[in-house]
Amino acid sequence: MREQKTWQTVLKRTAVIVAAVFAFFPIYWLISTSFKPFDEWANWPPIWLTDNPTLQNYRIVFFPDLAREFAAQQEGSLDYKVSGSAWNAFKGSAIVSVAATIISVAFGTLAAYSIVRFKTGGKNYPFQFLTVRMVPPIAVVVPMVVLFSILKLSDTYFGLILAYSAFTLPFSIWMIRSFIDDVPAELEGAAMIHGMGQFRAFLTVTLPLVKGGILSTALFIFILNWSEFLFALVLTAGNVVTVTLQVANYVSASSGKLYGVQAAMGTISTIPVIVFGYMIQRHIVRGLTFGAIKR
Amino acid sequence: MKGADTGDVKLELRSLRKVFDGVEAVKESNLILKRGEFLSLLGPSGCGKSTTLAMIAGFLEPTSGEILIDGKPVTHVPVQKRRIGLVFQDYAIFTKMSVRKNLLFGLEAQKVPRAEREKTVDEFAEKLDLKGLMKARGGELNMSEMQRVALARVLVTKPELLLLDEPMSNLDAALRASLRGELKRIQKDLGQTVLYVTHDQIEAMSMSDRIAVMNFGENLQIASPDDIYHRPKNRFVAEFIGDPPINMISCTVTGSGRSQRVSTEVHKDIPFETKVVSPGDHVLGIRAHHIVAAHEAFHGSIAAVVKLVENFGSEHVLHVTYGQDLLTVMVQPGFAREGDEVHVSFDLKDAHLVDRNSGAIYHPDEREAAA
Repeated sequence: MREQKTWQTVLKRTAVIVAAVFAFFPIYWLISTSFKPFDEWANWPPIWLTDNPTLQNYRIVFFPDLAREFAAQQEGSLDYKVSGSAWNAFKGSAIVSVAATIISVAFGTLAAYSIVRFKTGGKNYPFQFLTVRMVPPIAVVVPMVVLFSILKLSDTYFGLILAYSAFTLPFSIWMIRSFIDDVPAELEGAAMIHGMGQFRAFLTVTLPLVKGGILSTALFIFILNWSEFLFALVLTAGNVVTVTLQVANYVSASSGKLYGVQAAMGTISTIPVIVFGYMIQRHIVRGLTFGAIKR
Repeated sequence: MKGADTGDVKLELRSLRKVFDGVEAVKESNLILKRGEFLSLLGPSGCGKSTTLAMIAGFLEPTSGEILIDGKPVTHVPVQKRRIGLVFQDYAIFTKMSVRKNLLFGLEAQKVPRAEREKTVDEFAEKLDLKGLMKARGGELNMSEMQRVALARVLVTKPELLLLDEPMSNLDAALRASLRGELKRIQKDLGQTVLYVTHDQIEAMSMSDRIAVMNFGENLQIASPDDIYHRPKNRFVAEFIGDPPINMISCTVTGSGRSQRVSTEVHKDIPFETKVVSPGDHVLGIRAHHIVAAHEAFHGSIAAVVKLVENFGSEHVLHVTYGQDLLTVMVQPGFAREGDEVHVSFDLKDAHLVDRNSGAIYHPDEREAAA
């Protein structure tokens, strides 16, 4: 009996370790590659940790001119064909992702509230709008390109924000709906009895209780927006650049893909997500413990 | 009714109806609640009492009919403008706010000046014995504390009308008994008009000035607790009120008017004049404490076997055979044991004659009035 328990524990821990290795390996590889000089990027056998760490990849990302000067001094340097610095891409991704996240979560909250409290759209409506997400994005991308060019939305921040908001809205509604559902209607009823209108009761009573849920949803939506590639690729043409597009831009005539530079870009682009996640960690952990009385 | 003096009437329901998906939850409800009165809506779950309450509070739109407060129609006035207080069944305490914040909530929402707010809250904290809890968070309270906070939170706003929706259903029995007295005391003290919704007959009987008994969305009888108990208007009211439940004995009615006679296993051809009941098989309702039991046979008694003894503490309730029926009889503790033979009888003047078809009840003293 006791032995069996020990074995179970061992098995469980092994499973956890395997899962953790599986999850963290790409991150390790990303960071490791970002510090490798160009001749170690695609070696076989792979170089797990470089003996010659360099910041050249990061220089290329942020200061392409400086990087070119630096490379000129080196033996056998690489031909960097780099389209501009990454600042523009970070700016573009920040504007689009933040704006689209705010719009998606704001409208999602109102829509979710309406669905929960007023049963808007009937019983099956929450399932119906989720079906929007069952269509693979690639299936709608061509008509979107046509639509956007007619509406003159191609290659604009506004256009991309609109597209991202529309595609993440079902997630926002679906997630926030479950949080609002957990707040007893009676709490708002009590606020209304004491002289508040329905909307004010929602703002003062319900919203503070679902704040953590809304922030968790916002993080999720932000990650979706931040890492989106397909729409960014087809709906822009150089004016608007996002981080994901910039990563794809790092190619060289002689060596093909600039893996190290892409890794550097990738490493930096995970930072905003981690920072945002850390900021709202408290709310995510607190999660759904509202403490309200339920039947 | 219109144009009558409304000075004394706090709340009036006129033909109030609510239909959900074709089901009539509340049927043509008419009710008048006087200023300072404590009225209970009493009935089993699903009888429409909570629906009625939700319509009065403004959370539900009536299908038809009118609600008047102080003689003014409020049927389409939004919740927050009705100046009604409501204590929810689950209290709906704001768990993340302190008790003081909870109590201040309504006054802040109504933009009452700060000094007055604080004064009123302190006054009610004193009245409801909440002084020591003011700093605690809503989430830290136990059920009875929550109930007091919910009550205080509503009372500080000095509502025109206080609605209480089964406020004691979350409390244990001992606490309920002590709170009944406390609630009644506070209500009298403030002269507060109260509409109290409950399925508990003891709460309704012990606190109310009047009780409205409801079933299947219908107001069956609105009367004082005494009248509800002693002069129920129909079979449902008679059976819903009273513990142990009223005995229902099969009987036969012959003749009519002055020559009307009632026969049971014990009583044969007893004159029992009531207003209207057609001859045939009917039912006699009689409460356990109106039945006389003795160890020896006496005039008019019949022998009965004790099948079960229920111990109520100060009394015992015997379940004894009575022809086809079982009767409950209230006796002194130790009077009889299971299997004993006792002799029972009762006086028809204490009985209610129930029309088997309509369920209407005719009282013996209506016979006297007719005579």
